[in-house]
Amino acid sequence: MKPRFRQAMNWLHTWVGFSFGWLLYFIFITGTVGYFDSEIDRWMKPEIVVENHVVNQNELLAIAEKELQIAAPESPQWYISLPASRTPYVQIQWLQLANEKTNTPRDWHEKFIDIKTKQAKDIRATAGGETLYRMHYNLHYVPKLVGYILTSLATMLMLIALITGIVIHKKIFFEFFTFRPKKGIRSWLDIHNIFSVLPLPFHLMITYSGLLLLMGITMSSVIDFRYGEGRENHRNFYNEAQLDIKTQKFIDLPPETLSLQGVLNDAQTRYKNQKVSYIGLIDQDSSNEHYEIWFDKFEGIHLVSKVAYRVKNDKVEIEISTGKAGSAAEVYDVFEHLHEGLFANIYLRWLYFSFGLLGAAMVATGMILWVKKRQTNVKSQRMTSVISIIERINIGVLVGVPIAIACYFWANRLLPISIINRPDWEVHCFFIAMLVSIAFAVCRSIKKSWSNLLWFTAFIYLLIPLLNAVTTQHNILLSLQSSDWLMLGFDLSMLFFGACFALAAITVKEIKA
Amino acid sequence: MKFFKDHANSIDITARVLIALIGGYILANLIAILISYLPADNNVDGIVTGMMVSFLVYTLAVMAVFSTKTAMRAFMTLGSCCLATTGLITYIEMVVNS
Repeated sequence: MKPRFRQAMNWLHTWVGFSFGWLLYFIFITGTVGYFDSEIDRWMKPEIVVENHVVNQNELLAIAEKELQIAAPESPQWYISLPASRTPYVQIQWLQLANEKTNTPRDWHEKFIDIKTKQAKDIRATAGGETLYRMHYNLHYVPKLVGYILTSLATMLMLIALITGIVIHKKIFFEFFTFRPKKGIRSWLDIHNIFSVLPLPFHLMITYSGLLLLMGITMSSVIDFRYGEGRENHRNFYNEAQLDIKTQKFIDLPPETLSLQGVLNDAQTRYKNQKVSYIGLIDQDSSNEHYEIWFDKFEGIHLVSKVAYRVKNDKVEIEISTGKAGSAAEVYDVFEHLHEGLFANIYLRWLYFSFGLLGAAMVATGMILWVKKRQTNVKSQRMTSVISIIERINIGVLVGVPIAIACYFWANRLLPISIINRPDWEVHCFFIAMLVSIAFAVCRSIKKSWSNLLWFTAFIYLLIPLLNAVTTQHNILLSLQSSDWLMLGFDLSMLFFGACFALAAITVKEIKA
Repeated sequence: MKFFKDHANSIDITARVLIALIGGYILANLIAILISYLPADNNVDGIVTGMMVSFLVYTLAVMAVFSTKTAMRAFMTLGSCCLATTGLITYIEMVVNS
């Protein structure tokens, strides 16, 4: 390779990485946290009653059905979620159609069932794990479209940074095994290489699949040109592109017994090795009335398989999807599942999580490197102050995002239950905390702000289990006793992260001393 | 003219950034459209393929823009690629429609 080419790629790597670095860091962290969205959700809804023992699914279904009949007798879509490993509780969800008379918008509603009292339970209003994970592609405050385009642009630059990063390395494996500590810039470069090269396949996969997930928006002109313009055409395109190959067969089930219970019974006997996780009733009392059974499956890349039951010509027909209609759609599907990692069991989920954090660490060390390199050859007074400001904001963002997430959890426990727009306020707390950290880092001296902010982060994470114990009926011992693994796991994880931040704070002090 | 001489470097970089961002995007779209004409499993699968490949095209285009000697040459390279693709698409459209 020509040296000039490598030099150009080096320049490109530096600047594409830098230009969207902070946004990429935010995306990496919030997206990574999203791998545990259900678990976070459970913690943020402490009122949920967990059911770990094997209970008769039919009994649970009967309770859920009764509640749905009370709550939403006319809803066109009912879903009942039975206890599964990541969601060990009974949940009902229904679609509320838009009603102009009462001025209610089309919306999904949910309720949780307390198995002991056999009734729906009131849950605090919370933004939950889902809002936290959605931030990584909708950026919350901006219009949806702007969020999608901004995150896509950042992801595009990330892909370019990865490819140029590979190109500029003469000896990628040699450098991977090199770490020269306490050598200033050289050490930062070595650590940046380790964070990038070790999980490189993950970084490439997550970046490229991230682009694919939003390609319907970013590359929409291709659909416009080749398929048709307008919302209607685009919807048709998606439906056609996502089309499954389906096989149908008639089964020996009397049509009059087709009910939620009947469907559950049949699925339990027909698929003995699978555990039913979701049951849906779609378009009740219409010609299109059908039932859906979803399985809790952790094998292979594909998340779940779905079986649909409906009555056709006075016989019961079941329908199973066996793959995508097109091979490109199949590839897309695999990338989508790889990105979302919904198929992952608990161990793979932690691996996903660690790789995601390594991605964030790659961006963070890259940003630090950018600052350090520029500090060594500054030309003017003006440049020095600009770089100093960037360095301060950088500290504020790098530590500010973890602080913001902790404050999001704190807000969930401390905001008054009856406050209006409570979920929104949780999110406001998230962003206020981030802005305050940045403001703090800008005002404080650089040496002090690293250790101040890291110590602060360590404390707010370490105190979360205590906060949980004080504000709810859950604490580490009780969770252990009642085998509430999600609650226990969350509290222990917070202690672990708190310890990590404390360790980081101590390390920073040692380096500076 | 003095302005251009004094700021030759920043003008070169600004031009390249614009060519890469906008030109790269146009080329990625054009190549995606071109690929979508290739024989595929059904009438939407080719479009999906094209869109999936477009991001790789964009990456390569940006790298090409920053590795040429001058911004002008980058513009010419990307421009001629865009023209050639547009020509091909127009030709295919003519054949398909006739």
